[in-house]
Amino acid sequence: MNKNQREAIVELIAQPISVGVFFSLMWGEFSKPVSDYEFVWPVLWAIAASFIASILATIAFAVIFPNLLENSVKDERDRRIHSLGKDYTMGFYVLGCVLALIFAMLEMDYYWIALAVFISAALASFARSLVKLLMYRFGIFS
Amino acid sequence: MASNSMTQQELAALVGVSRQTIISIESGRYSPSLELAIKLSEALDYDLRQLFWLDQERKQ
Repeated sequence: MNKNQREAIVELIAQPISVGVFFSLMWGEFSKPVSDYEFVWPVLWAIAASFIASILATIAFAVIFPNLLENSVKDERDRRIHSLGKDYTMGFYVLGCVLALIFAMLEMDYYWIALAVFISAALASFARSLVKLLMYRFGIFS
Repeated sequence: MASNSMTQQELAALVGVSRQTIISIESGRYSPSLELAIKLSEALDYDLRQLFWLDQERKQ
């Protein structure tokens, strides 16, 4: 495993935690009408949880795999996998933007617009990490 | 790909990639760029066509 794979695994761990924190904090809001949802702090805490989970996972990797630092060369294969990972998962960002635009045009509550952007970003990040790890393991998809 | 006189790590350092990339090229999981392929052929002192070929071709 190299440093780039480690970063992908860290991202793979952090995103579900972020989404889990968001919905855990929102659980108590679901009994209210959508227009009364207080979603700002859950979103901010979810983003913070993502950062914290990333830092803790990185520290855990450093303790469990101390020799990873020796494999930190970023060569053409790493750059290509990174680039393809972004390309293959760009659709999630586009989907989130399109949904947010549709929700805005339909004058839906802010919560749905924010949810579309938040979930699409989390899905894109998760999918990008998964695709990168699969390409590292099985080869580049073409 | 690493010859008897060179390890994968040494070859990787010589052409400027990671050992994992050399392993991926050897196992067919990664096709190098033309620049890297030329560097590998020069490092191993092999002709480019002796190292890389298309799947449907037969290596002589």
